[in-house]
Amino acid sequence: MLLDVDEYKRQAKMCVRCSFCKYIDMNWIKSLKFARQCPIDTRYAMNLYSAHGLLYASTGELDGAIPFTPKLVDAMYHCTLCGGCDSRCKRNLDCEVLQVLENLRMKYVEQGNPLLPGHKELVDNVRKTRNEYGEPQKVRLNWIGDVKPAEKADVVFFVGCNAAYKQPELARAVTKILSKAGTLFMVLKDEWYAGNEVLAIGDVKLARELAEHNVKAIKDSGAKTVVTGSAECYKALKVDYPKLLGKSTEEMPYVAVHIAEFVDQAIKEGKLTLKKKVPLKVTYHDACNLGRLSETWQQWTPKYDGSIPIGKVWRRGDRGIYDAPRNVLNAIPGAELLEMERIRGNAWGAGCTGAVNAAFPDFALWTASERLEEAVATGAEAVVTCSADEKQLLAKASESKKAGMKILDFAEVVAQAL
Amino acid sequence: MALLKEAYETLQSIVGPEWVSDDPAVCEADRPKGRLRSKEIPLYKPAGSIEPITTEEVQAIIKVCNRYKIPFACTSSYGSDVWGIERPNWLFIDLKRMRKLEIDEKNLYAVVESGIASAVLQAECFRRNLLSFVPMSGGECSVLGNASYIGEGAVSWKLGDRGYRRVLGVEWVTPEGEIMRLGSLSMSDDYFCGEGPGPDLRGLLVSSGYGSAARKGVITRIGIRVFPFIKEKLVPKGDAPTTHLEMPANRFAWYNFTFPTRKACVDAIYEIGKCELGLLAMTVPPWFVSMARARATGTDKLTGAAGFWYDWNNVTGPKAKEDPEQTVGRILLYGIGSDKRLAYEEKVLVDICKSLGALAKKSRGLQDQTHFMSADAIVSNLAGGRFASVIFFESLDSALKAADLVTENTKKRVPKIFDDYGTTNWFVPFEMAHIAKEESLRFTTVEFEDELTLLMADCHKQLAPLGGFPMFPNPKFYGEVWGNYPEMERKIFKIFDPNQLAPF
Repeated sequence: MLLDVDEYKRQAKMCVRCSFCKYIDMNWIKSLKFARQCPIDTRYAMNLYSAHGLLYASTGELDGAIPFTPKLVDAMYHCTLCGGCDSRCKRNLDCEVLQVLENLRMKYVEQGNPLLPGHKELVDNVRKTRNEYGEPQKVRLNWIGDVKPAEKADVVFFVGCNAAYKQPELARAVTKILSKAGTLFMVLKDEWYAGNEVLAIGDVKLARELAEHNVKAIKDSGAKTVVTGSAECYKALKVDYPKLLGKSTEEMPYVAVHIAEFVDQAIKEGKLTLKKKVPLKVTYHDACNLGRLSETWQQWTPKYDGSIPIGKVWRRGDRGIYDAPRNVLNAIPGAELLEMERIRGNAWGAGCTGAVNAAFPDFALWTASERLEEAVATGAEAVVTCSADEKQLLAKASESKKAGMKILDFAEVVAQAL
Repeated sequence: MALLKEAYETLQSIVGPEWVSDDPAVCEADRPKGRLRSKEIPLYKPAGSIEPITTEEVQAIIKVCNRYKIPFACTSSYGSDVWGIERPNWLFIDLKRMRKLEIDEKNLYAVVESGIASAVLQAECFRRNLLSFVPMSGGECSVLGNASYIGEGAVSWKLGDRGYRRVLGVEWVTPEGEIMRLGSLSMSDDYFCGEGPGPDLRGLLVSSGYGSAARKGVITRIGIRVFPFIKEKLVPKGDAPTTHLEMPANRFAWYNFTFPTRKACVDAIYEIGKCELGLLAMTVPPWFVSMARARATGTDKLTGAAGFWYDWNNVTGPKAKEDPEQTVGRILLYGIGSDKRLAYEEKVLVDICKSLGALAKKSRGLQDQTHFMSADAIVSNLAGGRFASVIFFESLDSALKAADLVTENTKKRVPKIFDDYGTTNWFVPFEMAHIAKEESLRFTTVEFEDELTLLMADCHKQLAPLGGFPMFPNPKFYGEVWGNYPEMERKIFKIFDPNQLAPF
């Protein structure tokens, strides 16, 4: 586990079971339909399928009252680890809800318990081929085509498995943006899977192996900045890697930048101008990995003065990347941004976090469909997201619901406007 | 212990296997918090949990409980601990799935099922230029659960106190499994009117000072009054933890007024009540100021418990210690109907305070963080991880005496209970100062939680002679002082619950 036992217990016992974890921030509730924060609580409605239920179950497991029953494992791994509950709780309490939920899984894996079939497949793929799809590593760079990365540059473009293997057009959109901004970039010759889902499953050992490899590759490249178009890779580079390596974000040998941040900054500095009209009503989906989960990680050794954690900097979800993508979308000529009800730190996850899609694809699709319904309610023609995984799942949801909603990646939309 | 196999299978046939479980993890997740309970009384995890979605399913479940003599208890938001957990082998009826909500805008009432949270009803009301109550226990609390228990909210200052005064038609499943429909609902599918032919049984369902609605079985649906509101919208802003609602300046104004003693402030509140000013009014204990400041953001600021204690120890606490009697009142003036009304209220408030030797000061900001949607109820746990309230409902004058009593009792338990210098006695008047809640919040760490239980027990014993009623008292202490009314209740409810399966 990444939390020591005493801290894990302390945090799990903090829960006062107020049920704030089930709703978006109270002040932001605008309707019955879109009031809820937690996908598992909304769908399954046994208290075990909620943050407070899982925290109570965690203390029960810690105290030896219950083992990892199949029901507990089911509830635990249905949780999307979207962080909504964590952010809601931290409005009023100092309680590391998400860390408890993550550590529950880590403990499960540490004890040598069997992985769910979908998780086992993913982990086996990663062990064999260093990507989540089981595709050959040697074709990872096939997306490049006629793109010309530099041999040496200050910036590395971290592509991510989805863009490399499944949606190469997204990778090329990012490179188009970087080039247009006059930014030289490299790509890693031996980029491995970032590791989000492996860490979400609870396999800390494998996640750490991936982190060590990728960090070394970045360091050896000499680059100081890593740009990515993937919310998942962004969170891995900025949050998971320092967490796994016992460091804070600012101690890492690079700065992670999402393409949304890059474009926003480039526009402000005059390096990029969005000239072409993109006449489209869009709504923006805040990917959890770019939003509330992406705050910088502060390594902290538990130390208390009574109830006060000494030297701890809390991550409450308010300092995620919310404004940058919106600034850019608002700057695109012809585009009109229509907001959903649950936005920013209140965003409903689209089902791509927590390794849920690997183990429970039906539930992941349901989660995405719920989000899609919210997007449709805005009157928008398209959903824009900063996550390749969420783009795919939302597109699947749109197709299955015959919603006719376009699902676009942020980089694609920006590339159209260049 | 486990439910009988036959009983379990019957329950499965009612709701479907997905919605009932006796899995150890499910039962562990539903185990009572057991907070603020005497350690002498053992508490039990449920033997199973079930989630019905219709009144008919609830009825069928309760009939099964009667057939197999299974005690039951229910909740929807779990905002308070479930009552009736002192019995082994009990069935937890979770009403969260029951989430129907309809609003009749013209006739100013809503029909809600158990699973509708107060903040959700409020949000739906706002969309229709209506106003509802959100209890100070939190916006996540069930409308139905709260209205049939205490039901007050910040706006009770203007719009009325007890929840039951707003409860209209009621659909209720008795502990024997009979569906009772009260008020106009008894005659037709209409929740509009709480009164109907025959005796008004709503008084039985809505509780006095203790217990829960589940004692009387399960209330599944109620009609509840809502109120006209302004057309201008309250706009949500900010990222948690500093979210708030922006209020229109032509309709609202916050004012603070400071008096040298609690009594002087209470006297001012009486005068303000006579003029029927404002939508909500209350005192603001200094502890609350530190709690609000703890909700900072940014990596360069102390936040949470660290932020609280920094402010309390260095800024607000020393001032409170130096002058514990000084009391700040706060009122939200409200231009109901027009902005001319707001201007009038401001003038009258300033005049009242001036005549009593105080200054009514208008706040700069026009934001509300917590009163309309009650986003901050749980922040009371922030300082140490645990808190409890000795809550007492009576006149404002009696509330003053209650506050002194609790303060004296608290001193004996400092420092295990945090020392607030006797200042966290929160006066929340209702109905233009006809009645008040005096809430003495006391705070401690998880380690010393039992001290809060003991403090409450001490206080409850002593509060009885003041009249009124407390919240969460143990009937063991109060019954005798109040004509053994728990015994009267038992006799009445034996008619409805001959097998004594509902909580008592």
